[in-house]
Amino acid sequence: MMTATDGQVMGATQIVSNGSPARRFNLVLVSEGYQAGQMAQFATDAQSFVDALFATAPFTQMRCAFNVYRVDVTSTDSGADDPTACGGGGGAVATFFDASFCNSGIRRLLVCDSTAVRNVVTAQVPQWHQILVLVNSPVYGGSGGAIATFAVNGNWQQVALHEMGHAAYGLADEYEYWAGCGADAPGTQDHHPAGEPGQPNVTLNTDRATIKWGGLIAAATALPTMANPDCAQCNRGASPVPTGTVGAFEGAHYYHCGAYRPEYECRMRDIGFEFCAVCMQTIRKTMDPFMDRQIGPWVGVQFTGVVAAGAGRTWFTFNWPAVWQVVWLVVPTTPRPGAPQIAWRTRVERAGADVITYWITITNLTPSDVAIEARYAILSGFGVC
Amino acid sequence: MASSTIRLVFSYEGDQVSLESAQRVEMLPLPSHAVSGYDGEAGFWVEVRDGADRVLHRRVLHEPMPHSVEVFPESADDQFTQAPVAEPRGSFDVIVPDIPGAQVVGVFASLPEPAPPAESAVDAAARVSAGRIRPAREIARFPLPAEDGE
Repeated sequence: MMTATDGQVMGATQIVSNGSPARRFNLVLVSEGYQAGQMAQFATDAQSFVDALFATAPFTQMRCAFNVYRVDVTSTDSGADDPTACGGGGGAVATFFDASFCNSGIRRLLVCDSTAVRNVVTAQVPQWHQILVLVNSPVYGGSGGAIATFAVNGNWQQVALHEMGHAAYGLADEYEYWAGCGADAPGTQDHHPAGEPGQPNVTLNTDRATIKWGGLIAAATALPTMANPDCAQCNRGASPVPTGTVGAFEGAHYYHCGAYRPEYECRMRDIGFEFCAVCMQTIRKTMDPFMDRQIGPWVGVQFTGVVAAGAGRTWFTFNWPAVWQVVWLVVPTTPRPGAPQIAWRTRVERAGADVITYWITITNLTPSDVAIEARYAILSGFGVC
Repeated sequence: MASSTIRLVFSYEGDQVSLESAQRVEMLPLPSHAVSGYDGEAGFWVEVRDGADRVLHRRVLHEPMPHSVEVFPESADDQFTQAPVAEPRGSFDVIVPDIPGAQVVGVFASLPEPAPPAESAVDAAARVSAGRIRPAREIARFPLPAEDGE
Protein backbone atom coordinates (compact mmCIF):
# COMPACT_ATOMS: atom_id res chain seq x y z
CA MET A 1 0.00 0.00 0.00
CA MET A 2 1.07 3.53 -0.67
CA THR A 3 1.78 5.60 2.40
CA ALA A 4 3.08 9.08 3.03
CA THR A 5 6.45 7.57 3.82
CA ASP A 6 6.72 5.92 0.41
CA GLY A 7 8.06 9.06 -1.20
CA GLN A 8 7.57 12.74 -1.83
CA VAL A 9 6.21 15.07 -4.49
CA MET A 10 9.10 17.36 -5.36
CA GLY A 11 7.27 19.59 -7.86
CA ALA A 12 6.75 20.21 -11.56
CA THR A 13 9.29 21.36 -14.16
CA GLN A 14 8.26 22.53 -17.60
CA ILE A 15 10.55 20.89 -20.15
CA VAL A 16 8.82 22.08 -23.34
CA SER A 17 7.35 25.56 -23.15
CA ASN A 18 5.19 27.14 -25.82
CA GLY A 19 3.19 29.64 -23.88
CA SER A 20 0.17 29.61 -21.65
CA PRO A 21 -1.11 26.16 -20.67
CA ALA A 22 -4.57 27.58 -21.31
CA ARG A 23 -3.79 27.46 -25.04
CA ARG A 24 -1.65 24.32 -25.45
CA PHE A 25 -1.93 20.56 -25.22
CA ASN A 26 -0.38 19.84 -21.86
CA LEU A 27 1.46 16.53 -21.60
CA VAL A 28 2.69 15.47 -18.16
CA LEU A 29 5.38 12.87 -17.45
CA VAL A 30 5.37 11.56 -13.87
CA SER A 31 8.04 9.52 -12.11
CA GLU A 32 7.31 6.33 -10.19
CA GLY A 33 9.82 4.04 -8.53
CA TYR A 34 12.67 6.54 -8.77
CA GLN A 35 14.54 7.14 -5.54
CA ALA A 36 15.67 10.67 -4.69
CA GLY A 37 19.13 9.93 -6.00
CA GLN A 38 17.68 8.71 -9.31
CA MET A 39 15.78 11.86 -10.30
CA ALA A 40 18.46 12.87 -12.79
CA GLN A 41 17.77 9.57 -14.52
CA PHE A 42 14.07 10.41 -14.59
CA ALA A 43 14.88 13.74 -16.23
CA THR A 44 16.88 11.88 -18.86
CA ASP A 45 14.10 9.32 -19.40
CA ALA A 46 11.48 12.06 -19.73
CA GLN A 47 13.61 13.92 -22.23
CA SER A 48 14.06 10.72 -24.25
CA PHE A 49 10.29 10.53 -24.70
CA VAL A 50 10.09 14.18 -25.71
CA ASP A 51 12.81 13.54 -28.29
CA ALA A 52 10.94 10.48 -29.62
CA LEU A 53 7.64 12.36 -29.75
CA PHE A 54 8.96 15.25 -31.79
CA ALA A 55 10.89 12.95 -34.11
CA THR A 56 7.63 11.19 -35.02
CA ALA A 57 5.35 12.45 -37.79
CA PRO A 58 3.06 14.34 -37.59
CA PHE A 59 4.36 15.69 -34.25
CA THR A 60 7.48 16.88 -36.09
CA GLN A 61 5.35 19.75 -37.37
CA MET A 62 3.45 20.57 -34.21
CA ARG A 63 5.94 20.99 -31.40
CA CYS A 64 4.50 24.45 -30.76
CA ALA A 65 1.16 22.92 -29.83
CA PHE A 66 2.62 21.21 -26.77
CA ASN A 67 3.68 22.13 -23.32
CA VAL A 68 5.42 19.21 -21.62
CA TYR A 69 5.88 18.98 -17.87
CA ARG A 70 7.88 16.66 -15.69
CA VAL A 71 6.41 15.98 -12.27
CA ASP A 72 9.17 14.76 -9.98
CA VAL A 73 7.94 12.29 -7.37
CA THR A 74 10.48 10.34 -5.37
CA SER A 75 9.91 6.86 -3.99
CA THR A 76 11.45 5.14 -1.01
CA ASP A 77 12.40 2.15 -3.13
CA SER A 78 13.27 1.69 -6.77
CA GLY A 79 11.16 -0.28 -9.26
CA ALA A 80 7.69 -1.81 -8.92
CA ASP A 81 6.09 -4.82 -7.26
CA ASP A 82 6.69 -7.97 -9.30
CA PRO A 83 4.54 -10.77 -7.83
CA THR A 84 5.64 -14.38 -8.12
CA ALA A 85 2.05 -15.34 -9.03
CA CYS A 86 2.82 -14.25 -12.59
CA GLY A 87 6.34 -15.54 -12.67
CA GLY A 88 7.90 -12.37 -11.34
CA GLY A 89 10.80 -12.13 -8.97
CA GLY A 90 8.57 -11.45 -5.98
CA GLY A 91 9.88 -8.00 -5.27
CA ALA A 92 7.56 -5.87 -3.11
CA VAL A 93 8.81 -2.29 -3.02
CA ALA A 94 7.64 0.90 -1.37
CA THR A 95 6.84 3.35 -4.17
CA PHE A 96 4.73 6.49 -4.17
CA PHE A 97 2.05 5.31 -6.64
CA ASP A 98 2.23 1.63 -5.66
CA ALA A 99 3.05 0.40 -9.18
CA SER A 100 2.74 -3.36 -9.66
CA PHE A 101 3.03 -5.91 -12.41
CA CYS A 102 0.72 -8.92 -12.65
CA ASN A 103 -2.58 -7.06 -12.74
CA SER A 104 -5.47 -9.31 -13.88
CA GLY A 105 -2.95 -12.12 -13.69
CA ILE A 106 -0.95 -10.72 -16.63
CA ARG A 107 2.77 -10.51 -15.99
CA ARG A 108 3.40 -7.48 -18.21
CA LEU A 109 0.35 -5.52 -17.11
CA LEU A 110 1.90 -2.77 -15.00
CA VAL A 111 -0.58 -0.52 -13.24
CA CYS A 112 -0.27 2.15 -10.58
CA ASP A 113 -2.76 4.00 -8.38
CA SER A 114 -4.30 6.18 -11.07
CA THR A 115 -6.38 8.15 -8.59
CA ALA A 116 -3.25 9.16 -6.68
CA VAL A 117 -1.53 10.05 -9.96
CA ARG A 118 -4.49 12.17 -11.03
CA ASN A 119 -4.58 13.98 -7.70
CA VAL A 120 -0.86 14.75 -7.71
CA VAL A 121 -0.81 15.93 -11.34
CA THR A 122 -3.98 17.99 -11.00
CA ALA A 123 -2.38 19.81 -8.07
CA GLN A 124 0.83 20.45 -10.02
CA VAL A 125 -0.49 20.98 -13.59
CA PRO A 126 -4.26 21.60 -13.42
CA GLN A 127 -4.59 21.95 -17.18
CA TRP A 128 -3.22 18.52 -18.09
CA HIS A 129 -4.54 16.61 -21.11
CA GLN A 130 -2.46 13.42 -21.02
CA ILE A 131 -0.39 11.78 -18.32
CA LEU A 132 2.39 9.24 -18.85
CA VAL A 133 3.73 7.53 -15.74
CA LEU A 134 7.34 6.42 -16.17
CA VAL A 135 8.17 3.49 -13.92
CA ASN A 136 11.81 2.90 -13.14
CA SER A 137 11.85 -0.86 -13.60
CA PRO A 138 14.02 -3.23 -15.63
CA VAL A 139 11.00 -5.53 -16.02
CA TYR A 140 9.15 -4.89 -19.26
CA GLY A 141 5.50 -3.83 -19.13
CA GLY A 142 2.89 -1.12 -18.87
CA SER A 143 -0.74 -0.23 -19.50
CA GLY A 144 -2.70 2.28 -21.58
CA GLY A 145 -5.35 4.88 -20.89
CA ALA A 146 -5.47 8.61 -20.21
CA ILE A 147 -3.08 7.88 -17.37
CA ALA A 148 -0.79 5.45 -19.18
CA THR A 149 2.01 3.61 -17.41
CA PHE A 150 5.30 2.35 -18.85
CA ALA A 151 8.29 0.56 -17.45
CA VAL A 152 11.22 2.53 -18.80
CA ASN A 153 13.08 -0.05 -20.83
CA GLY A 154 12.99 -1.65 -24.28
CA ASN A 155 10.75 0.06 -26.83
CA TRP A 156 8.73 1.95 -24.25
CA GLN A 157 8.78 5.27 -26.12
CA GLN A 158 7.37 3.62 -29.26
CA VAL A 159 4.67 1.83 -27.29
CA ALA A 160 3.83 5.11 -25.53
CA LEU A 161 3.23 6.77 -28.89
CA HIS A 162 0.79 3.97 -29.80
CA GLU A 163 -1.00 4.43 -26.48
CA MET A 164 -1.20 8.20 -27.02
CA GLY A 165 -2.85 7.33 -30.33
CA HIS A 166 -5.62 5.67 -28.33
CA ALA A 167 -5.90 8.00 -25.37
CA ALA A 168 -5.42 11.44 -26.87
CA TYR A 169 -6.63 10.90 -30.43
CA GLY A 170 -9.23 8.13 -30.13
CA LEU A 171 -7.51 5.86 -32.65
CA ALA A 172 -8.45 2.19 -32.81
CA ASP A 173 -6.13 -0.79 -32.91
CA GLU A 174 -5.58 -1.81 -36.51
CA TYR A 175 -4.28 -5.30 -35.84
CA GLU A 176 -6.45 -8.19 -36.96
CA TYR A 177 -6.29 -10.59 -34.02
CA TRP A 178 -7.00 -10.71 -30.31
CA ALA A 179 -4.49 -12.92 -28.52
CA GLY A 180 -2.07 -12.96 -31.43
CA CYS A 181 -1.87 -14.25 -34.99
CA GLY A 182 -2.26 -18.01 -34.71
CA ALA A 183 -3.01 -17.78 -31.00
CA ASP A 184 -6.74 -17.07 -31.15
CA ALA A 185 -9.21 -19.88 -30.59
CA PRO A 186 -10.43 -21.18 -33.99
CA GLY A 187 -13.33 -19.21 -35.38
CA THR A 188 -13.37 -16.46 -32.74
CA GLN A 189 -11.74 -13.67 -34.75
CA ASP A 190 -12.57 -14.69 -38.32
CA HIS A 191 -15.31 -12.21 -39.29
CA HIS A 192 -15.96 -8.77 -37.83
CA PRO A 193 -19.62 -8.61 -36.76
CA ALA A 194 -21.88 -5.86 -38.08
CA GLY A 195 -21.49 -2.48 -36.43
CA GLU A 196 -19.38 0.33 -37.82
CA PRO A 197 -16.63 1.25 -35.35
CA GLY A 198 -16.78 4.86 -34.20
CA GLN A 199 -13.03 5.34 -34.46
CA PRO A 200 -11.65 7.13 -37.53
CA ASN A 201 -9.07 4.55 -38.66
CA VAL A 202 -11.05 1.32 -38.99
CA THR A 203 -14.18 0.60 -41.01
CA LEU A 204 -16.46 -2.09 -42.36
CA ASN A 205 -17.20 0.04 -45.43
CA THR A 206 -15.37 -0.29 -48.76
CA ASP A 207 -17.64 2.00 -50.76
CA ARG A 208 -15.42 4.64 -52.36
CA ALA A 209 -18.15 7.26 -52.09
CA THR A 210 -18.76 6.86 -48.37
CA ILE A 211 -15.66 5.32 -46.77
CA LYS A 212 -14.45 7.46 -43.85
CA TRP A 213 -11.09 8.29 -45.37
CA GLY A 214 -12.22 8.52 -48.99
CA GLY A 215 -10.54 11.88 -49.47
CA LEU A 216 -7.15 10.23 -49.08
CA ILE A 217 -7.74 7.38 -51.56
CA ALA A 218 -6.44 7.88 -55.10
CA ALA A 219 -8.89 7.18 -57.89
CA ALA A 220 -6.63 4.46 -59.27
CA THR A 221 -6.44 2.55 -55.99
CA ALA A 222 -8.66 -0.54 -55.92
CA LEU A 223 -11.18 -1.01 -53.10
CA PRO A 224 -10.77 -3.18 -51.22
CA THR A 225 -7.08 -2.80 -51.82
CA MET A 226 -6.11 -6.07 -50.17
CA ALA A 227 -8.44 -8.89 -49.23
CA ASN A 228 -7.77 -11.75 -46.88
CA PRO A 229 -8.23 -15.02 -48.82
CA ASP A 230 -8.39 -17.13 -45.65
CA CYS A 231 -10.50 -15.61 -42.90
CA ALA A 232 -9.42 -18.35 -40.50
CA GLN A 233 -6.08 -16.61 -40.04
CA CYS A 234 -4.20 -13.33 -40.28
CA ASN A 235 -3.08 -12.30 -43.72
CA ARG A 236 0.57 -11.34 -43.44
CA GLY A 237 1.13 -11.51 -47.19
CA ALA A 238 2.95 -8.72 -49.00
CA SER A 239 1.11 -5.54 -49.83
CA PRO A 240 -0.07 -5.36 -53.46
CA VAL A 241 0.56 -1.62 -53.57
CA PRO A 242 3.52 0.63 -52.73
CA THR A 243 4.18 1.64 -49.13
CA GLY A 244 2.10 4.65 -48.18
CA THR A 245 -0.83 3.86 -50.45
CA VAL A 246 -4.12 4.65 -48.74
CA GLY A 247 -6.94 2.22 -49.50
CA ALA A 248 -8.83 -0.46 -47.59
CA PHE A 249 -6.77 -3.40 -46.33
CA GLU A 250 -8.77 -6.27 -44.92
CA GLY A 251 -7.90 -7.33 -41.39
CA ALA A 252 -8.34 -4.80 -38.61
CA HIS A 253 -9.98 -4.07 -35.26
CA TYR A 254 -9.20 -7.59 -33.92
CA TYR A 255 -10.74 -9.52 -36.86
CA HIS A 256 -9.20 -11.29 -39.85
CA CYS A 257 -11.98 -10.33 -42.27
CA GLY A 258 -14.80 -7.83 -42.66
CA ALA A 259 -12.93 -4.87 -41.15
CA TYR A 260 -10.47 -2.66 -43.00
CA ARG A 261 -7.51 -0.44 -42.14
CA PRO A 262 -6.30 2.48 -44.27
CA GLU A 263 -2.74 1.38 -45.05
CA TYR A 264 -0.83 -1.85 -45.02
CA GLU A 265 1.21 -0.73 -42.03
CA CYS A 266 0.66 1.79 -39.27
CA ARG A 267 1.87 2.45 -35.75
CA MET A 268 -1.63 1.51 -34.58
CA ARG A 269 -0.96 -1.98 -35.97
CA ASP A 270 2.75 -2.49 -35.23
CA ILE A 271 5.12 -0.31 -33.24
CA GLY A 272 7.86 -0.61 -35.85
CA PHE A 273 6.08 1.75 -38.26
CA GLU A 274 4.96 5.36 -38.58
CA PHE A 275 1.37 6.47 -38.18
CA CYS A 276 -0.59 5.97 -41.42
CA ALA A 277 -1.98 8.96 -43.32
CA VAL A 278 -5.45 8.61 -41.79
CA CYS A 279 -4.09 8.51 -38.24
CA MET A 280 -1.85 11.49 -39.00
CA GLN A 281 -4.79 13.43 -40.36
CA THR A 282 -6.78 12.64 -37.21
CA ILE A 283 -3.91 13.79 -35.01
CA ARG A 284 -3.53 17.00 -37.00
CA LYS A 285 -7.24 17.80 -36.72
CA THR A 286 -7.18 17.12 -32.98
CA MET A 287 -4.10 19.26 -32.41
CA ASP A 288 -5.17 22.11 -34.68
CA PRO A 289 -6.87 24.15 -31.92
CA PHE A 290 -3.65 24.04 -29.90
CA MET A 291 -1.56 25.61 -32.63
CA ASP A 292 -1.16 29.28 -33.43
CA ARG A 293 -3.60 30.59 -35.95
CA GLN A 294 -2.32 32.28 -39.05
CA ILE A 295 -3.93 35.69 -39.29
CA GLY A 296 -3.83 36.48 -42.89
CA PRO A 297 -3.30 35.71 -45.56
CA TRP A 298 0.39 36.51 -45.71
CA VAL A 299 1.08 38.13 -49.07
CA GLY A 300 4.28 39.30 -50.70
CA VAL A 301 6.64 39.24 -53.68
CA GLN A 302 8.98 36.28 -53.68
CA PHE A 303 11.11 37.28 -56.69
CA THR A 304 11.36 39.70 -59.60
CA GLY A 305 13.20 39.45 -62.93
CA VAL A 306 13.13 39.81 -66.68
CA VAL A 307 12.06 37.20 -69.20
CA ALA A 308 13.59 37.66 -72.62
CA ALA A 309 11.42 38.13 -75.69
CA GLY A 310 9.71 34.92 -76.72
CA ALA A 311 11.64 32.93 -74.13
CA GLY A 312 10.87 31.05 -70.93
CA ARG A 313 12.56 31.20 -67.54
CA THR A 314 12.23 29.13 -64.36
CA TRP A 315 12.61 30.20 -60.75
CA PHE A 316 12.28 28.02 -57.69
CA THR A 317 11.71 28.68 -54.03
CA PHE A 318 12.42 25.99 -51.47
CA ASN A 319 11.93 24.86 -47.86
CA TRP A 320 8.40 26.20 -47.59
CA PRO A 321 6.48 24.37 -44.86
CA ALA A 322 4.21 21.74 -46.32
CA VAL A 323 1.39 22.73 -43.97
CA TRP A 324 1.10 26.14 -45.65
CA GLN A 325 -1.54 26.50 -48.32
CA VAL A 326 0.07 28.68 -50.97
CA VAL A 327 -1.32 30.45 -54.02
CA TRP A 328 1.09 31.89 -56.63
CA LEU A 329 0.41 34.75 -59.04
CA VAL A 330 2.88 36.13 -61.61
CA VAL A 331 2.24 39.54 -63.16
CA PRO A 332 4.15 41.64 -65.72
CA THR A 333 5.52 44.93 -64.45
CA THR A 334 6.43 46.22 -67.94
CA PRO A 335 3.40 48.00 -69.41
CA ARG A 336 2.40 46.76 -72.89
CA PRO A 337 -1.32 47.25 -73.54
CA GLY A 338 -3.34 45.20 -75.98
CA ALA A 339 -2.58 41.53 -75.38
CA PRO A 340 -1.45 39.05 -72.75
CA GLN A 341 2.31 39.27 -72.11
CA ILE A 342 3.09 36.18 -70.09
CA ALA A 343 1.86 32.74 -69.10
CA TRP A 344 3.16 30.75 -66.18
CA ARG A 345 2.86 27.38 -64.61
CA THR A 346 3.66 26.16 -61.13
CA ARG A 347 5.15 22.75 -60.46
CA VAL A 348 5.51 21.40 -56.95
CA GLU A 349 8.12 19.15 -55.37
CA ARG A 350 7.69 17.47 -51.98
CA ALA A 351 11.35 17.94 -51.09
CA GLY A 352 11.04 16.42 -47.63
CA ALA A 353 8.49 15.16 -45.16
CA ASP A 354 7.73 18.69 -44.02
CA VAL A 355 8.86 20.94 -46.88
CA ILE A 356 7.83 21.93 -50.39
CA THR A 357 9.78 23.36 -53.33
CA TYR A 358 7.80 25.40 -55.85
CA TRP A 359 9.07 25.64 -59.44
CA ILE A 360 7.58 28.52 -61.42
CA THR A 361 8.19 28.69 -65.17
CA ILE A 362 7.27 31.94 -66.92
CA THR A 363 6.89 32.22 -70.69
CA ASN A 364 7.14 35.58 -72.46
CA LEU A 365 4.43 35.71 -75.15
CA THR A 366 5.67 38.94 -76.71
CA PRO A 367 8.55 40.02 -79.02
CA SER A 368 9.92 42.29 -76.24
CA ASP A 369 11.56 41.63 -72.87
CA VAL A 370 9.08 41.63 -69.99
CA ALA A 371 9.79 42.36 -66.33
CA ILE A 372 7.77 40.30 -63.90
CA GLU A 373 7.11 39.85 -60.25
CA ALA A 374 5.98 36.61 -58.61
CA ARG A 375 3.55 37.11 -55.76
CA TYR A 376 2.42 34.65 -53.13
CA ALA A 377 -0.51 34.41 -50.78
CA ILE A 378 -0.23 31.97 -47.88
CA LEU A 379 -3.67 30.82 -46.81
CA SER A 380 -3.19 28.60 -43.80
CA GLY A 381 -5.87 25.97 -43.40
CA PHE A 382 -4.16 24.49 -40.36
CA GLY A 383 -2.45 26.07 -37.45
CA VAL A 384 1.22 26.76 -37.90
CA CYS A 385 4.34 26.37 -35.84
CA MET B 1 -8.04 32.32 -27.25
CA ALA B 2 -8.38 30.15 -24.17
CA SER B 3 -11.78 28.90 -23.20
CA SER B 4 -13.39 27.38 -20.16
CA THR B 5 -13.79 23.66 -19.97
CA ILE B 6 -15.15 21.19 -17.48
CA ARG B 7 -12.97 18.29 -16.40
CA LEU B 8 -15.24 15.36 -15.65
CA VAL B 9 -13.85 12.48 -13.63
CA PHE B 10 -15.82 9.25 -13.88
CA SER B 11 -15.41 6.02 -11.98
CA TYR B 12 -16.73 2.67 -13.17
CA GLU B 13 -17.18 -0.86 -12.01
CA GLY B 14 -18.39 -3.32 -14.61
CA ASP B 15 -21.03 -1.47 -16.64
CA GLN B 16 -21.85 1.01 -13.86
CA VAL B 17 -20.41 4.48 -14.25
CA SER B 18 -20.51 7.37 -11.80
CA LEU B 19 -19.54 11.00 -12.10
CA GLU B 20 -17.06 11.66 -9.31
CA SER B 21 -16.29 15.32 -9.94
CA ALA B 22 -16.78 18.17 -12.38
CA GLN B 23 -14.23 20.96 -12.22
CA ARG B 24 -14.05 24.05 -14.40
CA VAL B 25 -10.58 24.69 -15.80
CA GLU B 26 -9.27 27.42 -18.12
CA MET B 27 -7.89 25.27 -20.92
CA LEU B 28 -8.67 24.13 -24.43
CA PRO B 29 -10.74 20.97 -24.89
CA LEU B 30 -10.10 18.47 -27.65
CA PRO B 31 -12.34 19.32 -30.61
CA SER B 32 -15.74 17.75 -31.12
CA HIS B 33 -16.35 14.79 -33.36
CA ALA B 34 -19.37 14.76 -35.67
CA VAL B 35 -22.58 15.44 -33.75
CA SER B 36 -24.82 13.62 -36.23
CA GLY B 37 -24.70 10.68 -38.59
CA TYR B 38 -23.37 8.08 -36.17
CA ASP B 39 -26.50 6.06 -35.42
CA GLY B 40 -25.70 2.42 -34.82
CA GLU B 41 -21.96 2.95 -34.50
CA ALA B 42 -19.96 0.98 -32.00
CA GLY B 43 -17.46 2.35 -29.55
CA PHE B 44 -17.46 4.83 -26.69
CA TRP B 45 -18.20 8.52 -26.59
CA VAL B 46 -19.58 11.28 -24.43
CA GLU B 47 -22.14 13.81 -25.58
CA VAL B 48 -22.82 17.25 -24.16
CA ARG B 49 -26.50 18.08 -24.68
CA ASP B 50 -28.66 21.15 -24.15
CA GLY B 51 -32.08 21.39 -22.53
CA ALA B 52 -33.75 20.36 -25.80
CA ASP B 53 -31.58 17.25 -25.93
CA ARG B 54 -29.56 18.52 -28.89
CA VAL B 55 -25.99 17.33 -29.09
CA LEU B 56 -23.61 20.29 -28.72
CA HIS B 57 -20.32 18.40 -28.44
CA ARG B 58 -19.29 14.78 -28.86
CA ARG B 59 -15.95 13.21 -28.12
CA VAL B 60 -15.08 9.65 -29.12
CA LEU B 61 -12.78 7.88 -26.66
CA HIS B 62 -10.91 4.63 -27.04
CA GLU B 63 -12.30 2.23 -24.45
CA PRO B 64 -11.98 4.18 -21.20
CA MET B 65 -13.95 1.39 -19.46
CA PRO B 66 -11.98 -1.52 -20.86
CA HIS B 67 -13.08 -5.09 -20.41
CA SER B 68 -9.77 -6.11 -21.94
CA VAL B 69 -6.27 -4.71 -21.81
CA GLU B 70 -3.59 -4.28 -24.43
CA VAL B 71 -0.46 -6.23 -23.58
CA PHE B 72 2.63 -4.53 -24.95
CA PRO B 73 5.08 -6.11 -27.38
CA GLU B 74 8.58 -6.53 -26.00
CA SER B 75 10.29 -5.72 -29.28
CA ALA B 76 9.42 -4.16 -32.60
CA ASP B 77 9.10 -7.68 -34.01
CA ASP B 78 6.52 -8.73 -31.44
CA GLN B 79 2.77 -8.08 -31.51
CA PHE B 80 0.35 -6.23 -29.32
CA THR B 81 -2.17 -8.65 -27.86
CA GLN B 82 -5.39 -8.36 -25.88
CA ALA B 83 -6.40 -10.08 -22.66
CA PRO B 84 -9.73 -9.95 -20.79
CA VAL B 85 -9.95 -8.08 -17.49
CA ALA B 86 -11.55 -10.19 -14.78
CA GLU B 87 -13.14 -7.34 -12.82
CA PRO B 88 -13.32 -4.11 -14.83
CA ARG B 89 -13.06 -1.11 -12.55
CA GLY B 90 -11.24 2.19 -12.55
CA SER B 91 -11.66 5.83 -13.48
CA PHE B 92 -11.25 8.09 -16.47
CA ASP B 93 -11.29 11.78 -17.32
CA VAL B 94 -13.10 13.65 -20.05
CA ILE B 95 -12.63 17.33 -20.79
CA VAL B 96 -15.65 18.99 -22.38
CA PRO B 97 -16.17 22.60 -23.39
CA ASP B 98 -18.20 24.77 -21.05
CA ILE B 99 -20.89 25.64 -23.59
CA PRO B 100 -23.70 28.08 -22.74
CA GLY B 101 -26.95 26.13 -22.53
CA ALA B 102 -25.26 22.77 -21.98
CA GLN B 103 -27.15 20.83 -19.34
CA VAL B 104 -26.16 17.18 -19.35
CA VAL B 105 -23.40 14.82 -20.36
CA GLY B 106 -24.35 11.41 -21.70
CA VAL B 107 -22.03 8.42 -21.68
CA PHE B 108 -22.40 5.99 -24.60
CA ALA B 109 -20.65 2.64 -24.74
CA SER B 110 -20.49 -0.70 -26.49
CA LEU B 111 -20.18 -3.21 -23.71
CA PRO B 112 -20.01 -7.00 -23.60
CA GLU B 113 -22.66 -9.25 -22.13
CA PRO B 114 -22.13 -9.96 -18.43
CA ALA B 115 -19.76 -12.83 -17.80
CA PRO B 116 -21.48 -16.13 -17.02
CA PRO B 117 -20.25 -18.19 -14.08
CA ALA B 118 -17.19 -20.33 -14.67
CA GLU B 119 -16.46 -18.88 -18.09
CA SER B 120 -13.48 -20.30 -19.97
CA ALA B 121 -10.70 -18.00 -21.13
CA VAL B 122 -11.60 -18.66 -24.77
CA ASP B 123 -15.24 -17.82 -24.16
CA ALA B 124 -14.28 -14.68 -22.23
CA ALA B 125 -12.12 -13.48 -25.10
CA ALA B 126 -14.90 -14.08 -27.62
CA ARG B 127 -17.49 -12.36 -25.43
CA VAL B 128 -15.36 -9.30 -24.74
CA SER B 129 -14.13 -9.06 -28.32
CA ALA B 130 -17.68 -9.16 -29.70
CA GLY B 131 -19.01 -6.83 -27.04
CA ARG B 132 -16.84 -3.91 -28.02
CA ILE B 133 -18.47 -3.73 -31.47
CA ARG B 134 -22.11 -3.86 -30.45
CA PRO B 135 -23.93 -0.61 -31.28
CA ALA B 136 -23.22 1.83 -28.48
CA ARG B 137 -26.04 2.67 -26.07
CA GLU B 138 -26.40 5.40 -23.48
CA ILE B 139 -25.32 3.89 -20.19
CA ALA B 140 -25.47 7.00 -18.02
CA ARG B 141 -26.45 10.64 -18.04
CA PHE B 142 -25.36 13.29 -15.57
CA PRO B 143 -26.24 16.96 -15.08
CA LEU B 144 -23.43 19.40 -15.74
CA PRO B 145 -22.64 21.85 -12.96
CA ALA B 146 -24.34 25.20 -12.98
CA GLU B 147 -22.27 28.12 -14.15
CA ASP B 148 -20.79 29.01 -10.79
CA GLY B 149 -21.14 25.68 -9.05
CA GLU B 150 -19.32 22.43 -8.77
